[in-house]
Amino acid sequence: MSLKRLPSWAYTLIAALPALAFMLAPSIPDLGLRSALGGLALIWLIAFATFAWLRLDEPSREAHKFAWFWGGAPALAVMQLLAVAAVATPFVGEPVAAFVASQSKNGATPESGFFVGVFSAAIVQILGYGLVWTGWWLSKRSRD
Amino acid sequence: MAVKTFARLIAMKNRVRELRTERGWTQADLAKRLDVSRNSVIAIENGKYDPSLPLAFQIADAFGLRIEEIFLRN
Repeated sequence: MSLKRLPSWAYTLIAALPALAFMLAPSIPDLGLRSALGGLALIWLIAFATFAWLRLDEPSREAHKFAWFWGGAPALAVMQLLAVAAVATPFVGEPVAAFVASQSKNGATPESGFFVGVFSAAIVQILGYGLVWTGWWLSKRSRD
Repeated sequence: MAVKTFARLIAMKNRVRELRTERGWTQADLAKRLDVSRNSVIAIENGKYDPSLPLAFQIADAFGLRIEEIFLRN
């Protein structure tokens, strides 16, 4: 099996490898090297995600589109509501601030708030997407 | 009510399972011929996924039939 004919899931795994580079990044002191590594990781991710998409068959692509629209987007909307609630009410804001502070050795700083916010939103989005994607395929397997 | 009526109008049924079993092919065999996943074959056979025209032509070619002999109005 040549590299061009790998199944879609294999390309997805290869595309996810830059995540390792991001995990290593904080241990690299040089900002230039860190930025270059981040740039390469991004190019790698886009290239192999494209291969993964091109190798998908039509129903699988539909499943992804449906799941991002009905799972990923609403999940992101929930996180946006949470962000507004965190700013507007101490009832929500205090536990959120405590969580942000617990994720960084420097406490709640603008940087840690940014990173926790971005990654929390992404994780919740992926969860919403995953739930809907699973539901889509399960609904297609039943004969009625 | 209107939504149900519309859904009934556009609903299709297909003979993919019938034609596949006639030829003694497994779902995996058909998936390989169409270059799709077995899950996709299951979805099409169950009438839960209506393929696009290009995929419908591929299915028709695999069975050596015309599209309208495989996909029928419900």
